Amino acid sequence: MANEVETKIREEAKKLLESGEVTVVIGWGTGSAAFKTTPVFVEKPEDVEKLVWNPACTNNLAVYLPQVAQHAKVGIVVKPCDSRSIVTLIQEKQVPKENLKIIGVTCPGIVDDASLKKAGVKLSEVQGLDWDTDCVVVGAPSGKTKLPITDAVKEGCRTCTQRTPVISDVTAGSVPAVNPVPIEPMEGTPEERRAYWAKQFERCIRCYACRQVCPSCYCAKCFADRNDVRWTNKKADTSEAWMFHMGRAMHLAGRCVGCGECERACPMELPIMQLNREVQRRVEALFDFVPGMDIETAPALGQFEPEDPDPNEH
Amino acid sequence: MARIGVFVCHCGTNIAKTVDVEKAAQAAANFPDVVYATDYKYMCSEPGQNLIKEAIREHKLDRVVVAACSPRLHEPTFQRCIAQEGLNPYFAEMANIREHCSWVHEDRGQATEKAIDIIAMLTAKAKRNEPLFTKEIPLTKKAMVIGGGVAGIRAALDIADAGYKVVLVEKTPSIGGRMAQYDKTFPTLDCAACILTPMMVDCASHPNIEIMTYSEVEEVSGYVGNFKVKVRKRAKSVDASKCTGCGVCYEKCVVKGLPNPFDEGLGTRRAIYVPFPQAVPNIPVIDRENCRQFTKGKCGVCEKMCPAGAIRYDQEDEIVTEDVGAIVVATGFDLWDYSKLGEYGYGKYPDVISGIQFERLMNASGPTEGKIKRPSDGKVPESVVFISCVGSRDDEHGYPYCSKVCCMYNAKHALLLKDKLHDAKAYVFYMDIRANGKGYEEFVRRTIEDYGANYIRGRVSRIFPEDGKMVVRGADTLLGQPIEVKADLVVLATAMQPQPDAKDLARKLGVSTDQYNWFAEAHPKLRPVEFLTAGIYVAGACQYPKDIPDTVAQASGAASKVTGLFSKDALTSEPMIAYINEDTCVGCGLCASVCPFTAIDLVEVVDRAKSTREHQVMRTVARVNEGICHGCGTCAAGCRSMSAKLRGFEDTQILAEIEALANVHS
Repeated sequence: MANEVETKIREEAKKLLESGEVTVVIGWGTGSAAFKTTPVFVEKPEDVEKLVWNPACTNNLAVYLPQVAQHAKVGIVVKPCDSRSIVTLIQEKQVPKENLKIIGVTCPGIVDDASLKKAGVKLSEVQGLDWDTDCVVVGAPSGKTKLPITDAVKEGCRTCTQRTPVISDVTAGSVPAVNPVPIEPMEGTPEERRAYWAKQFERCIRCYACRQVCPSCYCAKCFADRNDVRWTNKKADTSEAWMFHMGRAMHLAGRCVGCGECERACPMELPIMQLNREVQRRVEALFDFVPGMDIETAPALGQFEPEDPDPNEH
Repeated sequence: MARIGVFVCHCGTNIAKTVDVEKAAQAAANFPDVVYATDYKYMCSEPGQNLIKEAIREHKLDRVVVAACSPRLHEPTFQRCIAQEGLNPYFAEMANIREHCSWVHEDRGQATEKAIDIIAMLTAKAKRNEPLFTKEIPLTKKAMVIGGGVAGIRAALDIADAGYKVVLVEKTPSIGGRMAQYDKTFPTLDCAACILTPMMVDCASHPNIEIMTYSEVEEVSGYVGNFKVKVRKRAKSVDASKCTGCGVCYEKCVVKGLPNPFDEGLGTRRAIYVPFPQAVPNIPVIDRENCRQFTKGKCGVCEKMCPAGAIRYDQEDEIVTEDVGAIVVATGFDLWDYSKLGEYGYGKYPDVISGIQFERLMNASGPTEGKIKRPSDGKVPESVVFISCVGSRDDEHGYPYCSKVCCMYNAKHALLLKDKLHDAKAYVFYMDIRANGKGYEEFVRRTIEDYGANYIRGRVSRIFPEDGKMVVRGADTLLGQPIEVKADLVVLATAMQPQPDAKDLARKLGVSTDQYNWFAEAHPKLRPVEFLTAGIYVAGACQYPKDIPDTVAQASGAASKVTGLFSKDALTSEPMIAYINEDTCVGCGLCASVCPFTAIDLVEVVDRAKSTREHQVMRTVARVNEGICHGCGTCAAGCRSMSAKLRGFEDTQILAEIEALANVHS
């Protein structure tokens, strides 16, 4: 199922590079294991064979754009969620739209090692990954196993409502028929939630991997790194981690597209997306705004109207 | 090391009743860097201020924290006080232990603890206060008045008389506005034209006033003292410098019978017209939508007939940019469309008219030359019903507010009707009579008692035609019984509503409107003629329904604000404003989009990290316009990279406050 799309990606990338419309195409390439891919930067037309498309293409490649595409013409392969990141980056003036050639791919949902493990897959035996209508097909020496998509994919992909890119110059693949699971409000009383998160943040080593993979965290100097004003201390303890994660969650309010890269990158397996999803759920409920859907709709928290709803009344 | 003095005020008993001020002062004496702490009955009084000054000298204080009321009240007092001792005024901090503490708490023990917390926070902040300095901003001593009604005219004349240049921008072909349409004015029954037209002529002949009619504001940029306003001067198709106002063009114009908006549709005009005989300037305009030269491409009658050769079919709209230091908004009001009301006939009965139409019927320069005739058949009415609150105080169909002037003009109409047609009957249906103004109540009593107008307290439920009359059916709520009046003419006192383009103009000016789209003043009581945006003022009924005396008073108020502004040679900038750390700014533009005063621009700067000697790379950063910034801090709160900051409220200061609070409790 992924083959056709992969061929199309390579064709389009080749066209862009041969015509000189872009100097580089950013896409996914074969990773160190069959359940992994890695970002690749293809600069020559003959190298487009390096580009792949399969259920392990998890990286949100838009993260590179603020550095790469500010002053150069860049081609990029994007999933729907990644395309929403591009919309927010254009809105936030981090990438000029005219510098981009966007090869979009429709997406039934992505797996990562955590989601596969959770679905009972032995990672060491995985030989290949593909989709088949509403299943993820895991190839192994013992044969192919079909897992229902909602069981195998990342949490953010289960609830995802956007299966085609919102912005692209070409789109590969047909619209997958996958029904999203609704996002549930965060459970528990405030005290229970406080206890839950205190336990989570206890494990945080503040490596900032979550921030580094996030396309929306493009600040030249993060508030957590500032030493003129110490919003967070260098000390590794729960309260400092708490400050960092809350700060980041607030900074992503009305901006997080739900790609889930922060959670995937976290070596301590913190459920960061639970926070982000809850914040986005509230922003949507209050302002009827979903980030990154189109360039024209101004971000909910980037404007003020006297008629804006009062959160205290909700 | 800072040397901080803490001065705890009793505020009489306002604070001392709930807060143990002595205990608070003792506690403050032990805070880090505090070298002196005391309490006093009234810190703002002269002895109180002297106490601070002496302490500064004696204890070599370099920071002063006054624990008293809100900084809104007395911060300037204490800033002046310490400045007299040679300290930078921004080294004075106020710990608000009145509004934030003593006034809102009852338990003395807990209130005292909280007061101590507040003082701890502010001493921690004061330690990190940086000296701040004001700057001088130049200003253009020329004003723009938008709207040429009586408010705009009064404001323009007042400013011009004070010696400053004024540009008066009016949308229609003539200044005069609503008041020019009226017949007589309550409660003195002066003829509106008699008192207004001299002012209009004064405006036109005033050496300091430039009138731009048939013109609209397109775009406003800049800030107090330094606005740039783009005005679209619509093509009149007449060369104003040649036209003598002789009127041959509109006498000879072949396109007749167009409804004249100035007569509220009751009279007619031609395709080239002046809206009314006393128009200022007395220069006709061509209504291009109806002119045969424009619709059919041939006619040219007015061009042939004009003895001055002033007709210009090829004239185009002109955009002019005016540099002004202040703007007065006086765009007036619109009237509610009663055709929404089914019970009053959806506007389809010709003999059910609005109050403004009745004004035109009574006006000597109106369509009937002042003879009251009903529109359907020209019959002189024998009975007229006036209905109050049509669209006002009516949440369901119109507006919940009272339009304020209707009670009075209903009384005026009833009186004038009886004055012109002694035998005619006048009925006024009303909810309440609101006649609170100088001579107003007496006027209403005169209408009822001397002129015999029949006042009926109650609502009209239905109007319908029957045998050549309009049957008005309602309830007399004082008698508690239904009532039916057969009238020749029904006059509806329709609600005043904002101009349809008020919101649009507000957006261009960067000022706010309220829930109905009336312009919103800075403070309903204390700053009634100013907008929150400095240098822009409001006058007349574009703010809220007003009668002529209130409108003119406010116009003079706005004008005095403008002349007050212009009396200075330079403006002093407020130092507690935002600034951007351009090194860390990522140019996302969030600050610019959330700034309520449009004080932030995005500019290109050289990206030194990426540039080489041969190749310069640019990047975008935000920059605060110091003249416009009000220091509200919205940008600083919104900025994710913490590059937008507010002087006097730096992150270091805020964090120090939080830490001080945490330390007290740990």
